[in-house]
Parts: sequence; C-alpha cells; structure tokens
Amino acid sequence: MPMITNEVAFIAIAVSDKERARKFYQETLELKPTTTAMDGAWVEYDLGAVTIGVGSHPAWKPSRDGTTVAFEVENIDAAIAKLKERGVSFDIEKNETPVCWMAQFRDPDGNKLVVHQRKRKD
Amino acid sequence: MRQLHVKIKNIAFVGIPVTDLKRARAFYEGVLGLKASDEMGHGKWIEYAIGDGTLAIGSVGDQWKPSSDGTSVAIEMENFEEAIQRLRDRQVPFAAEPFESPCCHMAVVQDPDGNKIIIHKLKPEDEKEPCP
Repeated sequence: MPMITNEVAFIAIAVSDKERARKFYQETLELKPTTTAMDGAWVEYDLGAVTIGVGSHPAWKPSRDGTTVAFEVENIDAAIAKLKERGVSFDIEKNETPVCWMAQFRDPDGNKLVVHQRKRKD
Repeated sequence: MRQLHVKIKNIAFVGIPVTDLKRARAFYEGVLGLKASDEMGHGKWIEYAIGDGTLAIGSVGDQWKPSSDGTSVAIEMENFEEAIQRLRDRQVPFAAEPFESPCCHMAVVQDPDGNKIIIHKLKPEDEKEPCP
C-alpha cells in the first residue's frame, strides 16, 4: 500500500534574512503571501494546490545545490526580461527541451530557482 | 494598480538531484511507494505526479548536485506512525526524529544522496490547534 496520500504538503525554502527574502519573493517574484507566521520567519505562498514556505531558522541553511523549485510562467521571455530588469542574474539562460523552456536563477541566498514554460500540446 | 509581469501561475515541479538513479528509484518508489508518471531525458529524469504537484528526480551531472541543506519537499502521509515505522524498518536515516507541532506531525529523513524529505501529517480538524 502506498505510504503517501495524494498530496505534496509543502515545499520549504531556507533563507538567512527574512526581510531580504520577503522582498525577493513578494516584490521580485510577485508572489502573494497567504500566511505569515513566527514574526515573518515563516511565510507561506499558495501556488495552485501547492504551498511554498520560505523560512528562516539558524538550524536550517540555504544551499546552492540540492532540491529546486520550478515556477510555471505564462510567458517565459517576458518573465526573464522582467526578472533581469529587477537585477536577477541567470546562471543558466533560457534553454529548450522537447516539452518545455527553462532558465535558472537564484534567490538572494543562492537557492536555485527555475522559470519554466510548458510547450502547448498541439 | 500594480502591474504583474512575472506571472507565476503555479509550481511546474519540484526537482531533487540524485547521483544514482537506480538507487534513488529504489528509495522513492520502493520505500516511499511513489509511482513514476513520466520518464524523460533518456531515463535521467523521472516524474512522480502527487495530487496537483509533480515531484521529479534527476541525474544530470555536476551542474546540479544533491545537498543536505536548502530547499526540501514535505509529503503528506496517509498514516504517520506507519510511515515512520516503515522508514525505520528500511533503515532510512532520520535528520530529525518525529515531533509534533500544534497542527501537524513531522519528521525529516534523507534520501540515499542525503537530500532531506519532510514526512508530514496534518492533524485532523478536531485535534488541530492553530499553527504558531
């Protein structure tokens, strides 16, 4: 029997400076917070059915490697242009796979993030 | 009115980098019980559809390495105690032993590459208190 219910509970991103992270996730990426807990040390953003939690805790460190979140955007060229205009630098420029386009950037703590646009299936 | 430009719609996927796909699949499929929903990149990218989310494991070389720090995914369990027992039976390493918050039960385990996975179970509504 499978152990897992049909649900990703949340994705947790570790940051070191809650105010810098708030600005990045809310102003640069334009995510809307749904819950702010522990005096801003844990902020949740609901995206579709999945929740991202951005958290700051001394025992939990950001990483330049490891698990990565990919955000689905409406128009990847427009998203990349806007992020660059806001000072975000990309370490992997837009590339194409048979099913999508992707580009990789980092949050202020160096955590990898991806903007992703699925190709239409027609 | 604020003009939105980046227009993030949802999460495309959560990707976990692994170094040995066979070993990783034995963990994600054999231990966690996930079922592969898609296989791409000549078998170097495996996707698991979980509800409306997609969890992917990929082995793409040195540009994307596992880490025991950083972003983690939390997966919702049917039965927390059973899941913990099964993970212990399979000698999966625990980075954080099971603990309880006012609204949930959690534990942190590591996949064979050391990436942390949060084992999570929300409390039923009648036992749940607000999260701090």
